[in-house]
Amino acid sequence: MLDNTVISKLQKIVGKQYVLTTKEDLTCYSYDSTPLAHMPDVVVEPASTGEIAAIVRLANEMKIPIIPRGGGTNLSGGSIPVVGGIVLALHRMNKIVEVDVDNLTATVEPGVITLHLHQAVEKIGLFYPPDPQSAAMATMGGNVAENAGGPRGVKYGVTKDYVLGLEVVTPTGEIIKLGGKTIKNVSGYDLIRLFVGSEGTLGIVTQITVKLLPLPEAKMTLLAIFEKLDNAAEAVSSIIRNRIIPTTLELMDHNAMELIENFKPVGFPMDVEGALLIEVDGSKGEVERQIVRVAESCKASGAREVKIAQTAEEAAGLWAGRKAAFGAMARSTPTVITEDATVPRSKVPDMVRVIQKLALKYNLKIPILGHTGDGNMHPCILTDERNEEEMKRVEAAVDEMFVAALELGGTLSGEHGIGLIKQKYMKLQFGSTGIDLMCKLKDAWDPNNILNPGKIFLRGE
Amino acid sequence: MTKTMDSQREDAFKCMRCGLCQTVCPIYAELYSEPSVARGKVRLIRELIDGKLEVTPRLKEIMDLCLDCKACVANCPAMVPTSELIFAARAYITSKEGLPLPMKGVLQGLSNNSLQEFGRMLMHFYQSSGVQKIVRGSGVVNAISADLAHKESMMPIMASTGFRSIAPSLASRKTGGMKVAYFVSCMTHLTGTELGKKVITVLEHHGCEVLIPTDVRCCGTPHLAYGDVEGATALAVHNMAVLNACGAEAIVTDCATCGSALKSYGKLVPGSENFTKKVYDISEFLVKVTGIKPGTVKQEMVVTYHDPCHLNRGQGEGNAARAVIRSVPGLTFKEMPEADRCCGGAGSFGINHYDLSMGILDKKIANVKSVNPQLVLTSCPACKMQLQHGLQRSSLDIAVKHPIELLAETYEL
Repeated sequence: MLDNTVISKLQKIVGKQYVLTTKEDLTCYSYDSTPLAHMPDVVVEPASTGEIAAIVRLANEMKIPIIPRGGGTNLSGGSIPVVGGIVLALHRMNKIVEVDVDNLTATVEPGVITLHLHQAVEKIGLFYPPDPQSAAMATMGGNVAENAGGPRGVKYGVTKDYVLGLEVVTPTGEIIKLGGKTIKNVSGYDLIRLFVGSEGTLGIVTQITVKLLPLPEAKMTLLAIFEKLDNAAEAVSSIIRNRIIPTTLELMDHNAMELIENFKPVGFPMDVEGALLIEVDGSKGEVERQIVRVAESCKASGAREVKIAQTAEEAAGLWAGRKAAFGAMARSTPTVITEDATVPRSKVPDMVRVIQKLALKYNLKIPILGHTGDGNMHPCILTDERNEEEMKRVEAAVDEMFVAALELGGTLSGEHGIGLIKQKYMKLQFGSTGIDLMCKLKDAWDPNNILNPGKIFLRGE
Repeated sequence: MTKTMDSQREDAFKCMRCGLCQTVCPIYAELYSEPSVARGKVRLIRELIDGKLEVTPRLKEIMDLCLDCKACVANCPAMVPTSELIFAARAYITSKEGLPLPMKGVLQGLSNNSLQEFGRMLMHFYQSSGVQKIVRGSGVVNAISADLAHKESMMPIMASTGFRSIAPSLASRKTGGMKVAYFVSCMTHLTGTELGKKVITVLEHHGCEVLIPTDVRCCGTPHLAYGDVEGATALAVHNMAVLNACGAEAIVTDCATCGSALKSYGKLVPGSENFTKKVYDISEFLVKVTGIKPGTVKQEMVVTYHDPCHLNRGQGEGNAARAVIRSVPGLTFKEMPEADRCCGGAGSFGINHYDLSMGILDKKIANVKSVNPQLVLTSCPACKMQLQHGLQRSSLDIAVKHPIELLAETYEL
């Protein structure tokens, strides 16, 4: 517990009603979308950069941890106050400050919900591509902190590819501005890249300027069914070799399709190994040409069946199965653990086979959904967090999954972040030297270790 | 923990904390704070069941922040029955602490028809005698408290005579057709005489013999909302006995909330299937039983429709109301955006949380405005009252009616 003088100082900064201390309020800020939880000591809801700087200065002086929080939807435990302290709930800072149609940028506060930015810019024919599955709940601040991706990553990249400028409150309470509205900017170290994906450990982002694109005129969708996974993988390679980069290239394995079909029948065949859901976008003529070539690539690679949606309704019908996947999983089990190990595109079939073997070995249900275009796999482990024995098998399977991903030239996390969940694997990817370098960086930046302490890496490894 | 709450343990555990409820909760869209949304409340209920939390004023306050609009339930991948969990939590809180005194009076008033009648007469006197005019003109209510002034401004106009007492004389036709009991809701009884008359007209036009048992009481929803399960059960038993005794083949109501409550009596009184299967919303009844028979008088105007939560998600009958609307000759029907989003009325919620309710209502009114209608239709007298208040607040000269009222206006009289 924090002593009363700290609470009253916080109240002075943001106003009494924005400092929450009841057990009920603290409970509501103790979790994210993982099964983990830990109680904070206090929740503070600031409304401005100035308030945040004052809160951070106080926390730094008193050595109180601060955990910035957006929509609380992350899948890595990153926003859990694992050592207590102040949860900084940023939802009041939710203004879209500016959409600059001349420079094609948008400037937003960190509490803006990503979908709201999508809607605001699409209304005027512009486009902010990063589209994490949680875009309707997650915030731009959270997306920057986690370097969020999404299905469109294969063609359009991820959050870090769009951030041009940041305003940040440093762990010692100073306000700094990085970058701006220019595409080109090579002055000094690229601190923006360092901040994006730093999971709230290096600073609190208080304003974000992102690059926008013109909204593509049209899009088309296709579903291809494959008897053999290798054929699906070959189709992906063949599409890319044909110089087409689809907007999304989503893979569903047999287990995922079976689960979806049992829950909401959309007509997936049950005797195949996988399916690809592919979307292309661009000008109208271009998408029509592209979708035909994608279909040809799929057929030439051995697709049993290829369906091209002719209308928006048909496209929605093809997407219905994929979109039902989460509901199907959620209704089948109390706990779904979604992993995001990522491998080079060409290694997707190998990774799928590794995961399927692990499911057999440890007797687990692991349907696989994946952004296969960028190698970002989402094996979804269906389990019950209250079943200790099964959770041990889950852990063993996940351990082996990460070793395999790294051996295939991949990475621990494509888009969810390390947080608490994957800390113990960091040494595998970075070795002691890498971890040591990250620790030094963190110490230089945050001497009192107050910003989201205990995340990303384990000290002393 | 009571036994009822124990049985909810598994339901509460099903929440995967994905946060999708944030995208549809009208209260979250106002406050953006975690305790205001289903995910937060379900977590608190889980901790309450596990004995890690106790009943506190803050817990009560949080559990009170729910419109029972069921948008989170409809949108939940794991199908967590959040509305049921919140009602169970409220019941637990009430069983521990009892009802707050003013609420106890209100609920007793609703349960007891003669007390309710006395209240109606007092309010009618206040409104029609000129006292209200004097009070409003003097600003005295505002001087006491702005909150009280809001409550006063939301007070519905009371009927000069309660509908339940005049109804039987209106429904006199012995058509020899299907015997249908019209369950007169408290809202129609107290404020909606016109709607009540038109429901009778429409049912008779469809060849039904309308029976109106006058001794029906409140459906019990307010009691459940305040955790008074005992009070709600007593009302269910009473209403079922009265409605069963009248010999009706079907029971019809014009209130989305009453319909949803009557259909759920089996949860309060097990073994009530023979009763609940006879209950219909009026639009549902016309669609499923008689077929819609519109008249010929054209209604040339642009209308839009607001889905009452308890008809759409509560009973799954949003399409029935639309079928009635589409049958009206001459009409231009324009769907408003987010027609199924709660209007923020939600019984006494609008009175207890006026500012929050008005924030939610303003979004609804903006959606209404976007299709520029001459008339707003909605199948619930309580939504109707809230929408009227919102349109008035925004100085919009747009009327609000029940679809059945419009259907009745197509008949040559």
